[in-house]
Amino acid sequence: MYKLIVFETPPRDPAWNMAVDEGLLLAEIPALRFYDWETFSYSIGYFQKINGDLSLDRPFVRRWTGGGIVPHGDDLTFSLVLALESVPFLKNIQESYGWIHGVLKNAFVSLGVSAEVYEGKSQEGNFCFQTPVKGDLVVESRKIAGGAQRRRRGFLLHQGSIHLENGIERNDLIYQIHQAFSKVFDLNFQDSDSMICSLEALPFLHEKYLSPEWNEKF
Amino acid sequence: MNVPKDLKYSKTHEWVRSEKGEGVVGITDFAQHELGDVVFVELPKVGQKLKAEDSCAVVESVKAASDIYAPLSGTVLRVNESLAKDTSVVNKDPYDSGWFFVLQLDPHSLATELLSAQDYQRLIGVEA
Repeated sequence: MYKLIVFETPPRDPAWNMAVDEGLLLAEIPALRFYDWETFSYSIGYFQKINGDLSLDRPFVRRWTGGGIVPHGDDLTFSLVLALESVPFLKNIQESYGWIHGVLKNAFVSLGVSAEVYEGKSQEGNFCFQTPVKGDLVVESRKIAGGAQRRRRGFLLHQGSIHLENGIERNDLIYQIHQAFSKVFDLNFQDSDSMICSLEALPFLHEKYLSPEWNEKF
Repeated sequence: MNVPKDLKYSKTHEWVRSEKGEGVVGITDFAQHELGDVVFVELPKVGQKLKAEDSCAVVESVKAASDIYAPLSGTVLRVNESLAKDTSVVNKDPYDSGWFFVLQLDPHSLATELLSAQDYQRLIGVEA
């Protein structure tokens, strides 16, 4: 069984949250991280154009991952770094969403919520939670979890956002997600401080995600 | 899976067509299949110097941004600017109109270090 480091970081600014995720992928550390945002904010996809029609009413940060605009503050956010070799379904991008959301589905089902991996036709929109796309997690066709990825050098970073609906408690869901991943990986729980200290590139990456050169890239 | 015999390949699924010290670079049919529909492409800058295996381009497909690597060392001579308007050729025609950039190859950058079509087919698990 492949090892998976599991940790949680306290609420921080959007740039810092993105910097930790990039740091994990650059260091190629297989990890599952849950995190929160100290302010209501948006993350936008790597290629998102910010000129023209896009008007945002909250601070935003550009992600290293693809996809659309995701509102943060009320959601449960997580990141997952995995070697593509560690699970058979990760090399193909579409299949990887189905697999990751299949694990989340098991966590929701354990809490009595009949979630499903969406197999319908994708409808594109700027805002990530407007409509489900193939591979998202849905409850009665309503999207409750989606993700975006960065892939480099045989590893993927999946940044996921989950809507806490249906009376689900945050910590109960995190516990069930741990349980679901423990069927596939050997979980290694770490405290936040030791993980953050191990990411040597973090100060540099934090500056990058604060900079207009990055956030206004396109 | 289409693997033209006259091209060289990297283990990271780029192809190179080299001639007279220049190398045209793109991604393979296998790569575009694993990526899914490509919707954005970010190319290197003309004049940029690249070392073999440097991350030098990014493509987005299915909400995933994926790094593309320089298969050989060299300087970027030209980029396929038409990809800014139509990324679908990366999927439809990866070995021709879906090319990414042209490198002026460094003299010591040897295409012989890349995989032959036969070796690449073996890498991706396709019978020659």
